[in-house]
Amino acid sequence: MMVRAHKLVKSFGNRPVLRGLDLELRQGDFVTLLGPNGAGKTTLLRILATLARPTSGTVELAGIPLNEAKSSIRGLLGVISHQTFLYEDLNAYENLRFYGKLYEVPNLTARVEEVLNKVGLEQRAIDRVRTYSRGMQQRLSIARAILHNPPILLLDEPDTGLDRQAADMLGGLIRELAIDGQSRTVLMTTHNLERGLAMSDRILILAGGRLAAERSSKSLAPEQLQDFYYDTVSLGGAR
Amino acid sequence: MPGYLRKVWAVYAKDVRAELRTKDIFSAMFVFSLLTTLVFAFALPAKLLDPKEVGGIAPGLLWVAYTFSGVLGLNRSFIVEKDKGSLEGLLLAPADRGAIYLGKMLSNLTFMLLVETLITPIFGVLFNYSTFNVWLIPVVLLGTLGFAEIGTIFAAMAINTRAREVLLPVLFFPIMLPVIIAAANATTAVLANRPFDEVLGQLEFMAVFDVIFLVLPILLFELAVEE
Amino acid sequence: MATFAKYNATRPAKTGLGFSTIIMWSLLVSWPVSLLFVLLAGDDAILKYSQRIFYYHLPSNIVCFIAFFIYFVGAIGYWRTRKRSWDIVMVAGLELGIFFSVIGVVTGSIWARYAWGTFWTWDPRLTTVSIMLVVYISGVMLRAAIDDPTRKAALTAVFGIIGFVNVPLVFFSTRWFPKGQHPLIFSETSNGSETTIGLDSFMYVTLAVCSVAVGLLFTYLLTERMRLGQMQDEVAARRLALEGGEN
Repeated sequence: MMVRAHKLVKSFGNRPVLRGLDLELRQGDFVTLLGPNGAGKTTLLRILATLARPTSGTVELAGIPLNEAKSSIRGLLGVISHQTFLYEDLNAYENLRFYGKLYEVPNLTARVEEVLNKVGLEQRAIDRVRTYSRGMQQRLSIARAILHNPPILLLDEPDTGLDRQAADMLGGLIRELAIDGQSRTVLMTTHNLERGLAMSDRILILAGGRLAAERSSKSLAPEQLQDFYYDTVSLGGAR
Repeated sequence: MPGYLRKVWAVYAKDVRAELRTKDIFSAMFVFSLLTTLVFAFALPAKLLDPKEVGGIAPGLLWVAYTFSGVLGLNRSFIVEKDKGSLEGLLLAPADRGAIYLGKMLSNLTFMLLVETLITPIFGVLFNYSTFNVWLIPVVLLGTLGFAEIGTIFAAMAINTRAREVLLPVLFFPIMLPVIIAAANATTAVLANRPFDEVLGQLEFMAVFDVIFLVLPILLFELAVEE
Repeated sequence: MATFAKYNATRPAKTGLGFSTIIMWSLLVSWPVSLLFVLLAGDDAILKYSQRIFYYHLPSNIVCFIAFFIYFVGAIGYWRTRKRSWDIVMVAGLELGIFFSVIGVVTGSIWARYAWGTFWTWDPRLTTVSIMLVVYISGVMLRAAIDDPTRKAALTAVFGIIGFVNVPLVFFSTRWFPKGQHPLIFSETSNGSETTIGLDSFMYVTLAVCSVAVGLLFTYLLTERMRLGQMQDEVAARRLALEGGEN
């Protein structure tokens, strides 16, 4: 079990966001998390990414409970958010080398080249990130996330701010890298129902701070998805 | 340990490299300290700036200029991190929070010292008050180190509040008062060519402050940035 | 009328001789008693009548320091456990510390005015308490600028630890302040230009009585403030449960 959350509760003061969530991801799972704004998708991801502490409940990454883990456990995670985490005044090389040092990536120079090639940015590597388009920045962000070869990828709405073509390209890239020799465990959130369904093995729908539905992607045809989603969400939200 | 120090250096080098590209922080700090100095020079009555009197007031003004521009630099160094979410990028890394703190503290220290080195002679010229004294170096060093230590952790805290950068001076000034007092006092003594043992007390004091507030923020930084 | 009866019926029965009731009554008794002592105490030789405010001034300063220490302890507790109950301790210490330091500074200032004609002296203790007051007020501003309670507690704790460790350093640095005319020394010997307070035995008793009065006030306020914090949490939790039920 790569990622496991049990009875996860997160409240911001008196406002509960996650109300007892259970989640299990096996190695190699590619799971898309859907849900309306405010359902707690980002909060869940932040907790899994160790950026936020749960109010109660347990989280395990690769079997290690987070509250006992040391900071090195973060080496298991690659995180992509709609914020890029990139330093705009540095170029791609410098950004990647910096993160590489923080993640103690071996053979850094070679690995940086390799990763830049994978995301197709080797031509622009010496340009400052400030000059990149949004799509390129997200690609570099992916490069940063896989630089240290993490077994778990957490993606929080990576297609935000991208036009359809760029988002499709990104989607393809993510799928490719998820496999990429080792099957990574991927949890992705998105607002795009169709793309989420197409990319993943399973979809989870989060509503009202709980897991409202879970379906294997094969069991749902794209036409059914919209209705299924809205049904689930309106039920779950009323709780 | 070496891994820890490597990460400290990585954060430090990244900050310096980024700053060398744009010189945003440095130029803002330098211009601001210059303006502060000018305001003092114009706003104070000429009598106070008379060569015989100025030694009493100038060191305090100098440290006020350092303090204000220091706060500006501290704020800017974290605003950069906040806007692109890169502070979170740092927190996601398997690096000890203390290492991140140290790296940022050292880069803040570097920028502050740089600005101070440039502004001090200019200050001396404007106030007709010699600031060339080698014993000024330990005073400025120890004092600025204290600024960087407290300033870095408070800036990281302030930037995540509603008031953001406005909160930093509010938190920073009261806590730094002991250092500002000791430093201004020591500066007065040094530039009046007083015997060294008068200054020793202040230097020891600042050293104690610096040691305590080097260790404490390293331990507390995790708590200061968590959610 | 009917609704009032229903309200009465659902209120919990008043508990009898609770701890806070004892404190409250002791408090109400001790203050007039202390005032009596203060009025009966003899005049100080040098400072004459104005010295009497010292009987409340000194305990206030001490209590303010204790309050900030409690804040510090709460901060360490929160740091180690991340439990909400420590946050309540911190806030109580912070608020009471500010309250009593204001009293300390104001009484000190009044005393200075009547003893030496100035509202302010750079006396080390007065200055330290004033700086502490400013530091901890900025702590209140820090709390006010944060909405998320978890982060609020965390940052309050960081600030509390740094702020309290800073206190001895503040005290030490006051020796470099502009020297005031009249540092106040609490001793029995006379010493040149420094003003000293020699106390006879009745004055010591008065001081003790006033300390008890101030101490009781502090204890009462502290326990009530902490109880208030717990009740606020309880109200919020119940409101939450209600909303959950409605949904």
